[in-house]
Amino acid sequence: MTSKLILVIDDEESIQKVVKLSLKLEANWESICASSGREGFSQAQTQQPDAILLDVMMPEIDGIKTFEMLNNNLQTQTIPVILLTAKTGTAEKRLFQKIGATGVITKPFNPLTLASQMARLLGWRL
Amino acid sequence: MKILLIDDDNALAEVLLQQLAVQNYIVDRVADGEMGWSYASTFDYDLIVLDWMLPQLDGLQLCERLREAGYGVPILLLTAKEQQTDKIRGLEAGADDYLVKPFDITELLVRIRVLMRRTSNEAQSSLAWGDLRLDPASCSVTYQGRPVTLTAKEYSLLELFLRHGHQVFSATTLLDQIWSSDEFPSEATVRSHIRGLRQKLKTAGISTNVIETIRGLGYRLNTPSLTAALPTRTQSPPRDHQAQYLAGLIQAWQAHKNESVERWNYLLHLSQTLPERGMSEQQRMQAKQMAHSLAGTLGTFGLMEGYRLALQIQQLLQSASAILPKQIAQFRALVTTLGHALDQPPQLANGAEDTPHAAKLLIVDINQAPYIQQLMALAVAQGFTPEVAASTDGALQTLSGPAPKPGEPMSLPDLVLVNLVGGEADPILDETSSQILLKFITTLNQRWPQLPTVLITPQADFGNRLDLVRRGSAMVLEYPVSPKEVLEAIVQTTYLNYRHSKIMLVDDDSLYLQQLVQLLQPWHFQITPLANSKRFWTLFTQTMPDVIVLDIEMPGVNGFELCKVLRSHPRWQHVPIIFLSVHGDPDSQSRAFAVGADDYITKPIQGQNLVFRILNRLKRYHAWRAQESIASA
Repeated sequence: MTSKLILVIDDEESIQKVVKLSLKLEANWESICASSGREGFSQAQTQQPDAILLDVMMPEIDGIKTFEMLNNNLQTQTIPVILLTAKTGTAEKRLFQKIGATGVITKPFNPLTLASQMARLLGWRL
Repeated sequence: MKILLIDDDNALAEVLLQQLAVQNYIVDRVADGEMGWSYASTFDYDLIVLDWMLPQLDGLQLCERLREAGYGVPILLLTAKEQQTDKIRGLEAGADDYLVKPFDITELLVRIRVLMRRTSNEAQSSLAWGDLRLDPASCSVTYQGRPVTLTAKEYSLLELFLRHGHQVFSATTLLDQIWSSDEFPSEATVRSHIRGLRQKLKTAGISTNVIETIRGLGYRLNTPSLTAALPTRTQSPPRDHQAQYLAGLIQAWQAHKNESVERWNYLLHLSQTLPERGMSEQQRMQAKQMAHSLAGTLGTFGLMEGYRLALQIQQLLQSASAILPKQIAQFRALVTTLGHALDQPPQLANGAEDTPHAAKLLIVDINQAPYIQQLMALAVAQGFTPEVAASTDGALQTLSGPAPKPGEPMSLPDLVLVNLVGGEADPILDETSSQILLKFITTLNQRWPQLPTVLITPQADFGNRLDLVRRGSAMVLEYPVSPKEVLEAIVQTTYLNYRHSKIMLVDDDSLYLQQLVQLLQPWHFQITPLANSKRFWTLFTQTMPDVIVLDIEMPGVNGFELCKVLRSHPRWQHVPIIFLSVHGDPDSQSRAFAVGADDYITKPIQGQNLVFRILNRLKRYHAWRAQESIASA
């Protein structure tokens, strides 16, 4: 399959690095990173990634607000978004489904299978 | 280098903490002897600085207790007593050095350094990096059996890097560790010696750079070339990925560890000021956020102990109301233990599934001892689910629990731990409390005979032990006992019934099989390893194992086929089968469950994960067999 471009939005630079490394090693996907919702939104518009991996808990604009911004913008609303979040309760899962996220991956994720996990949610073949 | 400071003088401790931090020592401070014992027997330190006059257990008693328990770390005793006889008493109790208060801080620092150097010289086992060997006993270095001549400083540098494989040393730290204060060296001196060392190792024939430079941070031992370190077998791509990934993970952690340490420092400061100043709503929110970020980061880097502790701290801070007074000690114990977890190297983790399915504990502690808080924190780190009951009524209420939903079993803990230790001043429990707890133990055994009970008591002579065993306790631990030992005993007791269970391991990689056998060794299973899957049936029918662990890809007959063969036999419908594979993809997992697997674990295995998975399977298998035998009777 052709290489994919993933936008990783997470305020933790260390996690950005680990995700980038995981996706590259497992699936040879490229990734670009943003450290805040605002930066992520702007990168999504200009870079048009194949998918977005979005951390839910971020200071200032959190993942849910960022998701809404992406969803309300014509240039970004078709890009699939996977939420990255700590262990979730049923209520939160329902919320994520309701707002229309393509999928949710729970932290801590298995770095050796992160790309397959994403591919499954996105309906891509590795 | 880590120091445990045990001193109840707050003013002096503050000065010492500050001065030791300047010298790059990592210091834990506790204010009484009992906590000192608990810390020393739980965490690893390079040195203990111990005040003689302490509340409850005094420094001299603690020193004796530590030495009796075989504790080898150097101890420096601080005291206001300056008589020659006092010095002799201190040294006889097992202290390595002695300093009379008031003392000059510089002298203390010099004595600490001397003690540390003495100990490291005593660590005599040979150190290796690929074919490079350093023998501390003879102070010699060889590469592929040929001697490598180094200067004393180059030798010390190499020894330090070999002893601390993952650690990045800044030039300042190296100066502090290798050069004495009267040599007036500079960072350029370090650079020049590293250059010299690299050159000599290269001349000896080592093509990889042994000491690598981490830009902006310092120096670290490089990873020996994998192809050189591993035997002939060609590595499959997933393992190469793992090695590459691990290298990247270590590098990223080194670059970002400080961010986690800063967050931890915030929590630590808060835990220390909490009793006097309390916690504002803003502080609680911020601390919760810090714990959340720590959990996310530590989990991602595979520091699972830290991950579990950070999650627990986050949970403790969840409630909108201020932290309860009884939770303060718990908060502090969790934060301190988290600090130690931060020093572990990053690992390849299997994500959220990595939390071992360890036991649910009910701890009955009517005295609310700080020792139990420490035990709780360590239990959380190791993946247990501990719950504390502060009274026997509370414990009975927890055990009786809400009625289970129809068709579901009662949700009982896996084990009850009862603390029969009195206050710290006098460990013997008062008569009234003692009677209440003994009655509770008897009730426990009458109402829930299947529930193992572990007791900690200072009175563990034959008579008492007999009485406690008659009342139904499965294990009696004599106080003082370290929290780490208690947890080990708990694991043993919980799974006591599964000792000598027969485990069959099938994997075509003989080296890996050996590693698995070693990993399972401490559990006293009867293990049958098998590398040739074609011989499976013969060996299986001979040994009739209680659990089978199968690799997927094997020449001749693969794991899926073996699983199908077993499930095609009416007798082996229920024997637990666990798959252990490098394939983490959902397709392989679904296929495994479709052919009849009970569990699926992705390699690499983390710590005791496989053991707990096996034990859980055994537990269910035994329960099923018990039900079957009742039904057939």
